[in-house]
Amino acid sequence: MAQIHAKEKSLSPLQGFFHPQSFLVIGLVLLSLSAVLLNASRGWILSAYDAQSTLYTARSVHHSLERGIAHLVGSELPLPHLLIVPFVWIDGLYTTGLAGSLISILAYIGASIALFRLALLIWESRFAAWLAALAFALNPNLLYLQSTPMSGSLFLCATLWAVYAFVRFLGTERVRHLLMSAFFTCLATLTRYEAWVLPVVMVGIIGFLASREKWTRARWEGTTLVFLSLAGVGIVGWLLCHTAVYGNPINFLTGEYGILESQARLEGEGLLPTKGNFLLSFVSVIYTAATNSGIVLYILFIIGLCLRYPKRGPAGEKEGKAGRLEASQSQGLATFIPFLLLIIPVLAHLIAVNAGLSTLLVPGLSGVSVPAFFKARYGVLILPVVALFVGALGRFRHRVMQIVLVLIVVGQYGWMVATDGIITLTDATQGWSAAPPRKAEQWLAENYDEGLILVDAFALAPRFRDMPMPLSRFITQRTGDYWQESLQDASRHAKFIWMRPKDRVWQAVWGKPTFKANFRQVFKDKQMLIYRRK
Amino acid sequence: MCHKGNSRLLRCVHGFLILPQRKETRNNIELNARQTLSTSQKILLLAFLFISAGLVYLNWFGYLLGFVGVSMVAYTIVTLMKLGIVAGSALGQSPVLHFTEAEITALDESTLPKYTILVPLYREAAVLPDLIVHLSQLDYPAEKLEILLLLEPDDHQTLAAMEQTVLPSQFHRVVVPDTFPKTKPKACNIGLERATGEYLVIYDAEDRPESDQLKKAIIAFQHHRGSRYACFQAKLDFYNPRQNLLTRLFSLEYAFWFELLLPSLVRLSAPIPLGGTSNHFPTARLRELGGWDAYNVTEDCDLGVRLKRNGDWVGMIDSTTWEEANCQLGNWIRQRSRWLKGYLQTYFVHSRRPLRLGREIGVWNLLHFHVLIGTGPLLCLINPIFWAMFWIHLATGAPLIDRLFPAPILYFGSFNLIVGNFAFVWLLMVATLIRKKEDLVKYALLTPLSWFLMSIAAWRALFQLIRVPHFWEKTEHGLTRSSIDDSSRS
Repeated sequence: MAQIHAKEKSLSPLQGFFHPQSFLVIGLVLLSLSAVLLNASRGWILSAYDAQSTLYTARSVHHSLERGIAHLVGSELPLPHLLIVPFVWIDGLYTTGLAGSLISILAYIGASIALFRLALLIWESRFAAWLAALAFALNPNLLYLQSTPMSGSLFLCATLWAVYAFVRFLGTERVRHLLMSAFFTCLATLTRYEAWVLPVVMVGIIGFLASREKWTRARWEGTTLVFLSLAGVGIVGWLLCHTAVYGNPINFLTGEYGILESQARLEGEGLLPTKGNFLLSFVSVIYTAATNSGIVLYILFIIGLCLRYPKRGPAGEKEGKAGRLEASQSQGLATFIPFLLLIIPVLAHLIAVNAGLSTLLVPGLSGVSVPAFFKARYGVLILPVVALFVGALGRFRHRVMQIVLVLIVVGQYGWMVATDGIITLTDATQGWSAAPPRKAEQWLAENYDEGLILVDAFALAPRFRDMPMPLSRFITQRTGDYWQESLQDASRHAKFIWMRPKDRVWQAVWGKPTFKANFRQVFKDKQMLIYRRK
Repeated sequence: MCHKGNSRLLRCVHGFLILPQRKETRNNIELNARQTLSTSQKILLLAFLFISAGLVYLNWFGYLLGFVGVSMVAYTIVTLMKLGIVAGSALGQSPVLHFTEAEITALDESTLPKYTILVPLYREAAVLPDLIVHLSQLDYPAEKLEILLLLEPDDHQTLAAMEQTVLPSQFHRVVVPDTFPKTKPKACNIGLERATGEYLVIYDAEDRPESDQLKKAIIAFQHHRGSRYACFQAKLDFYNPRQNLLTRLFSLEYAFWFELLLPSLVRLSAPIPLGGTSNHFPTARLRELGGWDAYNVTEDCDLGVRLKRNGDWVGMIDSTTWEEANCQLGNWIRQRSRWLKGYLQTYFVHSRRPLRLGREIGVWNLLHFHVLIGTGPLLCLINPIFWAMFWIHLATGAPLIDRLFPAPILYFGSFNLIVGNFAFVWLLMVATLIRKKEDLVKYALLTPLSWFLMSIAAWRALFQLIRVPHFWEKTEHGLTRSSIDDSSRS
């Protein structure tokens, strides 16, 4: 009776504590908290506008003028916001940004454990697994991202667990692993659009496996249906949400405040040089990937990739029927599948950059007079696959070489920190992603005296955190009737109008008699205008 | 409830004289469904109806709003609980006991204990030959097997068929007294009195247990000797899952029940609504518990709760009993309405002293009890109301329905509509995949059809609970040719 025997063999609490993965978790917690403390002390947690934006969106659910979960249905996928909704309720966690950091920390730890297990599964070497985990978890760019509310570490966590469980399923064919993979794939698709290709590719791999292993049609059909019904439910749910709220399933893309519109605005400002330029897109993606992971580790990754010839793959697990994947892996298929799945988000990002759906600016490369990075953090998408294949080199059991590999990883990251080479941090604090308060916000912060403020939140991207008034004092696109009525007659609700030429508010109120009669200009700079009711 | 007429009355009195011959325990007296509602429950129900009527008179819209709100929260709790129960199971180790061939063959047949099999029969003449064949094929020494065929005195057809059948030595006829109530558990109680086996199991007339099931149960009991295990439930499955749409949907439901839900409940040590057959007991312990409630039409569910209340454990063994899936609509609804009526009986019986129940089974298990036993039938009853609201709103955009779903209720409602419905369908798909009936997975998408039928059955059950609470609605067996789908066993 296997079940009974398994119970008898279960580890004692003390044995469990000294399990290698316990040390990994302890190390990760210490690393993670140290990074958060460092970034918090320097005021970097909310340096990037996207970090602040994540918090605003989540807080809008319960703190805006019109509350509701419809705030989560925008152009950004909802999971990063949804998970922090309970935490941003607490003022201290909201203003410091720690509400978002909490989720990112957990995701970072989860991602590192998944990578450790994936490497152990594929390379069947404890040292290789530790090396891969080290190459992943010590990365300063990731350590910065996991300190912020941004979705990077959450996405990596979901993707890595999805891939780990999928690879296990290929070895064991257990429904449990299939479900686990589908669940995390679903989470990934609700975190970043780059993951939307994953379920399709995974279904393709299941089909490939089915044909090689001569499954019955019913088996293939049932397995695919169960997998896809969970892995794809996030995508379908997102389309349904947009249909319910906006009457357009792809409103996030084509809607009034959708991705296409915001990208068109960037294009108008000359910030989309990669659109239609594949070479520039490719070089920019490769550059940010290499600089995020560290150039030396990037080279090691390529070497590891070339040397991938495991003796046995995941089917080496004794619990599966005699090596299904082993039979089909043909020297390397077992390592190719995780490689493929982990590289897909990078390829999806490349396609998005080239199609103009995503922005990526690299100083000196972009061909425009852009002196700073923009969205360079997407380079961390490659980190799991880099770390995994750096770990592959750890299978060589030469002691000196193992020590050298560890030194290279530590040295690379040490050098990165010492030379201010953490480009995700550079982007967030000095690049286009940075979000210092602007003059208009400073003026409002100093002169606000009750009343509602009408603002086009999509065009102006307000730094709400830097202003003392609560979120519920702003009339934005997500405030339903307040917004619509204010565009008709601004004086109906608003005491202040904050706008810039050509934005939604400006288009609606400028020149109207009610506006001229009721408002006077109180602030003006190169970009912004603020009007106050007379 | 006694029927009209002197002869019925006499039989009823006779019944009360006969049944108390069994050892009466506190459970038998307090925890039976002879009265559907206790006096205090009747008072509470009347008070509820009275207050409701008053509230409707004072503010009918507010009352309706409250009803919708409470219902939406109840749906959400049921959805989350079921998902939680199943997810917990998926993450942990399966509690189902598995056995190796070596373990089974290692059993010394000379030391095996005597086993009693109870087979309650009513209008089962058609399946009698098959029954004898299948039970004779059990891998257990015939001299240590006691198969009691429990016959009803007014079932002349089966009695006549029995007369013409030469029974192997291990089979014994037992004609149960013609007393009220005329239920399967009453017959089983008579069988329990006569049983001489150390262990006991019930099979239905159409059951085809795997031949080594008794030995597996013996190993399970022996391995857990001295523990509180009082029952091991084998899995149930159908030998005709692909006969028609109804059997396909039924098969999905059984897959969910026996592959996901019951193992999860076993793992959580929650009250287990036992399956109607293939539950194995130590006979002495079952007698201590007072056997089955003769008045409860889902005596198995009731016994599962009583086991929990008495601190007994229920386990599951990896052995399957093949049954016949109901393939006719009327028959299906009759069977389902009996089950739902029995669940309501069980719920009312065990809710008579809710605080004591809570002390006996604990707070979490109390929640499981309310969600699994009580809320299930109630939601089947109110489902049509909300389906109607949904479709009417979709078709007409009725503003009244809008007003009944203000933001917080709308959130719960949307969650139930999207996540709840999806979750229940998806769990059936998963369970069916686990059962390796992959070709049936896609039929899970048609599950809402069976929800609709269940609601019909639920209203029928409620009607019967009021009028004829102890009426045992017979499920016809033998409607399927046995050879139709033996492939499902693979």
